[in-house]
Amino acid sequence: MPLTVDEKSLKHGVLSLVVTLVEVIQEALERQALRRMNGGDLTMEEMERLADALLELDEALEEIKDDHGITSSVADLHRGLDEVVDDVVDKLINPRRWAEEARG
Amino acid sequence: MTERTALYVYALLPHRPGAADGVTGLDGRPLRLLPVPGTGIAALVHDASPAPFQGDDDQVRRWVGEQSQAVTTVWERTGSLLPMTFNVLVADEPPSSDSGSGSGSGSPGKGRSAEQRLTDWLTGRAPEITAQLEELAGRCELRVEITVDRTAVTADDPRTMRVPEAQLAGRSAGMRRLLAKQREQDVRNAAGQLADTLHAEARHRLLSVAEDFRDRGRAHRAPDETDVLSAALLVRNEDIDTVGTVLSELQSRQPAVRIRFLGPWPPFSFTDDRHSAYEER
Repeated sequence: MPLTVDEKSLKHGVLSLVVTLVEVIQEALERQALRRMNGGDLTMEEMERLADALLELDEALEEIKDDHGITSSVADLHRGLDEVVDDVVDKLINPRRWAEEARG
Repeated sequence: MTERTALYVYALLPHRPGAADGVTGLDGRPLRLLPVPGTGIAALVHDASPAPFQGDDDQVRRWVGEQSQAVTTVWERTGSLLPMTFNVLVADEPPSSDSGSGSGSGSPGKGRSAEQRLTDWLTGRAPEITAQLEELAGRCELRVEITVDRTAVTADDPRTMRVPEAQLAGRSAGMRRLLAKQREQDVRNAAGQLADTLHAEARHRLLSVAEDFRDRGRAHRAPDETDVLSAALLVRNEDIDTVGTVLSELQSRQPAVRIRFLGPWPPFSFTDDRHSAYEER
């Protein structure tokens, strides 16, 4: 996962990392919210409140990314994290290649 | 200080005089065969400096393309070869300060030439190289990538219709967004389940045609597609059409499936790694 941080871009680098991690947490929260909605353990009013709170979080993250010009670096980091996960899953489902890499 | 030279090695192959005629490699360098006496095998090479080829990504991509093209051309002429990876170089042996330990044809104090080193190495491994060349003769590599197009899955799968448009009316912006996410997740799940089913079937059917099968990472990534299978197949030349038929049948039964079928190529993915180990840094 490429992450280049020098003195000049330290702030942007750290901020990109933080925002990316918050985005990952946001996705987990959204999945949990959908589970609870589908499970029927929330009233309509609670569902609306939860959904609006998640929308506000989304808007706040977009604003931070715009203000600091880190939209593309966050997207890159997010993609990088996705690739790491894909890679791990790939190794788990393809033990033969895993063994080849270990040998090499 | 004398300048050292090296051989850039493209492939090992059965010795067929003339097989490299007119073929060029990296930056248009003409290739030649280096026969290994008494073995029936040869190395496809050109002269080079001992320093590895280095450059930016575009440059390296171009070199790899040139190497691949050269190897494919010679493979089409010989029907069998063992391709090397990028930057396999055999350099002259450095001059030795110990004049008593020289071997082979090198004069005292002078190391073996790159040609002599490569020939010695190949002579020692000729039986296993010949055996592998025979195993791969008349066979090629095909690359198959199968995905499910999620935009095509949505149309007829009831699991993706859990959030009808009417349900979105009158809801807050946050709720509409969350329901849209749910729909997206449902589509993804439906595509994932279809991909799981197709993977087992496609793998089974391809294995019945291919002699060998290696899972490979996808070369092509599209945002609206879910992976089903990405693999390199080793098939006999006469079975290439059968692989195409298997894939066509899959496509006609499952319109949401997208198939990329590449090759035939030399067996890049099925060459024993031991033959690529002769690399000088």
